[in-house]
Amino acid sequence: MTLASEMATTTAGRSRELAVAVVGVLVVAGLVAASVLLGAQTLAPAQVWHALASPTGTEADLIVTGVRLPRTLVAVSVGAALAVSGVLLQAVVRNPLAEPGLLGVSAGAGFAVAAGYVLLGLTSYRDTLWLSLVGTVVGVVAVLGLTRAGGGRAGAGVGDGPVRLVLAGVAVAAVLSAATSAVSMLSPRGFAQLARWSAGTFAGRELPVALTTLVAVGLGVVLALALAPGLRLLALGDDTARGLGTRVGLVRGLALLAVVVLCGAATAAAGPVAFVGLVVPQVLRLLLGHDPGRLLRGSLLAGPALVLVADLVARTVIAPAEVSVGVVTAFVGAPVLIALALGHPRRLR
Amino acid sequence: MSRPPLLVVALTAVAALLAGCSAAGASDSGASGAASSTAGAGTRTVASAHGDVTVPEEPQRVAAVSYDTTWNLMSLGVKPVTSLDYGPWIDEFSTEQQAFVEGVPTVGTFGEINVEAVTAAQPDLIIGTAEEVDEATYAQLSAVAPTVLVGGGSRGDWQVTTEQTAKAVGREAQWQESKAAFEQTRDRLKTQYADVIANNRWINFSLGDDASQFSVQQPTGATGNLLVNELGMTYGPGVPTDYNARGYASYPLEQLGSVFEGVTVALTFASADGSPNPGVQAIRDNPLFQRLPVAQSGHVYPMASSVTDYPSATAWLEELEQKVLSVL
Amino acid sequence: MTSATSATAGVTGTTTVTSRPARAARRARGALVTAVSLAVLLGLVVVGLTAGEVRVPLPDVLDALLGRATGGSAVVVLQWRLPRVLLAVLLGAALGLSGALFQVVTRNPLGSPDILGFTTGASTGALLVMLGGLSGGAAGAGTGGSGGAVAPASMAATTGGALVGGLATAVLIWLLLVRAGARGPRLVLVGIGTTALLNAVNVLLVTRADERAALRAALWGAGSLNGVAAAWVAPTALAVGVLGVAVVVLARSARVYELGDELSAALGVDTGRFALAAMAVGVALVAVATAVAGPIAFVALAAPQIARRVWRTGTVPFAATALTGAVLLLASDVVAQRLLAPTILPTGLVTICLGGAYLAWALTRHRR
Repeated sequence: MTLASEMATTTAGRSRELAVAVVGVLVVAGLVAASVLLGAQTLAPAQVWHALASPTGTEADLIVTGVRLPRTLVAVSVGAALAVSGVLLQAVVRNPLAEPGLLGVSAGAGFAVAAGYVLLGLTSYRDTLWLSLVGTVVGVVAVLGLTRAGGGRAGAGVGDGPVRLVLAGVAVAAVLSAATSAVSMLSPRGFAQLARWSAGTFAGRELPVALTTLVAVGLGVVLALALAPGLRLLALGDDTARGLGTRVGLVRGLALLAVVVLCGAATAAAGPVAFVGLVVPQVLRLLLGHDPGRLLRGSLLAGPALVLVADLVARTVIAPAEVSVGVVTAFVGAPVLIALALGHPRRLR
Repeated sequence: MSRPPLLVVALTAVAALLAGCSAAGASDSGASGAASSTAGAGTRTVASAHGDVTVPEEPQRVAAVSYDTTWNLMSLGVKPVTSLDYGPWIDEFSTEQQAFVEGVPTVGTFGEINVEAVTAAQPDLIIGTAEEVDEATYAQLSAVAPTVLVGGGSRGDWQVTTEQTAKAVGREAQWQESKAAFEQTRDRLKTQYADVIANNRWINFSLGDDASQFSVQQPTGATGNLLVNELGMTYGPGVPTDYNARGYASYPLEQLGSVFEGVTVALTFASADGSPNPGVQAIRDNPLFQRLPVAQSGHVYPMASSVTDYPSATAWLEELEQKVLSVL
Repeated sequence: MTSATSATAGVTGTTTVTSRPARAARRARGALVTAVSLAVLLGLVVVGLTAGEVRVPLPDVLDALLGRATGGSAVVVLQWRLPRVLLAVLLGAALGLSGALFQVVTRNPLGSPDILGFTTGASTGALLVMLGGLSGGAAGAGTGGSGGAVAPASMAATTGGALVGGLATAVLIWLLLVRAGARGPRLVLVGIGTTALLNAVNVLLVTRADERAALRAALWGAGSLNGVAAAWVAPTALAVGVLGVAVVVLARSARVYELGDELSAALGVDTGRFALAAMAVGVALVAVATAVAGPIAFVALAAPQIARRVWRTGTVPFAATALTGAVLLLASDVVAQRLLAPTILPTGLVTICLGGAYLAWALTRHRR
């Protein structure tokens, strides 16, 4: 046992995590209930319960199982996926700002999906999932490649350290989103489909899609949790980690694989949603400290909570029309980024 | 900086434009402003969105610079010398329409009209809709040839736009003829199928604003207008009556049951070649739709015709008779 | 970050650090670079004036410019191509200068209005004016059926909206930073956060607007020089000219400001007042460009840095930046017009591609 891991598993820390977990479970349960109970059509709690417990094919049953439940499941999956991705990315690149949306990883998925729709006519959910996974790989490679290419410290002016990574993300996102809109001018059918997908909502996802997303995200989460001890050692620095017998490259590689699976599945289901991976780990650090294992477990509750709230806001704020979830998360996430930039002088230098 | 959001909005807006192309709205009167063109021998004066315009008595080379103008001209038997670039969406149109614009030079897309390409086609008359052509572009086009902007309301306001287009190209007689043919068919249907029309509650539905929604074509839209105002059909009691200028309203799928309440016949849209529209099919496949009485009785009819002028409206009525009225 | 030492090297004539021959060599190089850039700009102007679906040979273009042509070619050259070319040059210069001012004030090569959120803020202001005006008309159309044609909000009103939006964003960021006293990386992050936030606001504004207004706003939001009216050239030239004079006035203080707060104070420059004045002028330049063409991204970011590298100056060279900005925007606009001709791309789409690529290049450049 290392010093760090010993400290991370003190009884005080444990009881704190337990308290957070209990509160988190209650909050998520409440939000899930709200997400299933509230909708355009007014349903009594008894009707909803009937639909969940013993559905008999009534209209209310179909509304709950066909519309609200898939939507809620996707929101939960996407929230968990993006929050866990944030924790993983931040541990891998040792940068508190690393986040799929900010780094342009989602833009990579967006481009791949657009190109697939338009150029290859691939429009099914299954195709979208694969394209999104490939695009996520492209985004990750591009951002990390750009960040490394200039050498860690050198950057005579064009942003150092944490900012450099974010700027690489901005550059990747700009080029890829311009490419996306150029591609989308090429064809029609894809175009209409793309408009629907890139609006980034959880609506209109049917149960099979929701379950596929849940399974993919589940796999990514299991991988992430298995990596927690390795990530904990990685936080001590590459040399120390190596000295303690960690295969640094392997841990990093597997963590990025988990990011690709999680982000790819999330983006395929909901379109690009930014800032969840930034906000959730930041808030959790205040509550739980810096232990990657705790942050990962916490993300499984906090991510879904944030996205469920965002989705509830998105479908009520201009009802009956809906605003995209990504807009709502930007309203929450951008101020957090600003506060972060202003608040932690040491870490961001 | 990062632009995806606006891109998304642009995509959505264009998609909405496509989805709503059968929708009509209230027309605007148009801002004032005189078009400068010299009057000469063999000219006429016609009304346009920005004031009267002097046009050739018999225009030989007509340039279309708005999406529906091409089809309006097609209904009048006038082959334009330019059309907008349908590139992306051309396979959404019928084979006749595709053949009609085959080889016609394109002059850009909605919002980005290439005035030089219009000039290169050497038109003696330019026609567009006031909704799609802004004033700066109008001024540039007016320097090329007399430019008539029709309508001023929604793109789908075809009864107004075709009349003004017919006047501009000097084919009013042909327009009157097609209007009379339409009215004759309409009146025949109204008498012949009076009981079918009166004994059923109708709805005309389509894609919604996003995949979780469906839309209802209102009487303010092109096909809704044909059903409710021209044929005198009654929508189901569950259809909200707060009609808007867009010509359609979008509702969450959850509300299928309440909006379709009491409906006995539902019309919807098919692709131009008659194949099911994937988006409409997704709505029809939804369990909430399938448990509707109208779905269980099988009275859901996709219509392949699109309505942009009197001949296509007549064709739509004939399709309605053949597919729906005659079998009920 | 521009360091004080590199800044001194760039101030020709006021420093004895560099030797006389070296200075002469640098001057000669500077003159050469300027001449080449002007030639490139001229070449682009010629392309802009001659390329198009209507064939106008170069001699006819010259005749038109000299007022000797009548009819078709005169209209094509003087009414359509020339205004577009002139506006690209003017707005490119304006955006470049705006970027230069912000980079000086923030002492950060990434402190451009694109990154800091002023461009997005100007869009928010312009959208509020456009959609405010438009929704009034649409409401009329909905109720009475005669709401009047949707007259696009006037240029002046849109410019005003863009100006207020840009200034409000500037004040917001200024307050955030003054309170925390931060420059450098933090400023960039605050800017990226602000941009994301304002983008979300813009999407919300457009989503809430009625369909026609939303469509127009979305088209405007792509940023385009297509369909600009000849009548816009004179007011734009006047505005950019006045603001350009202001930049010239500020340039002297800018050199001193770049030396740092202490030295500036010793040399009698009030850094606070300079910063406020420079930001006001910078925001006004962005607002003019946004009002005329919609949001055009990345020219303000790239132009000053490209100019600094090409002219090899330590400080941001204002005149060279204006020239570079003009070349960048004009080149982008020519590409936008010709790439898929006769279909015209939004100019903003081209600059976003160029700018993203530039940023990527800049990031990879500093390999040891």
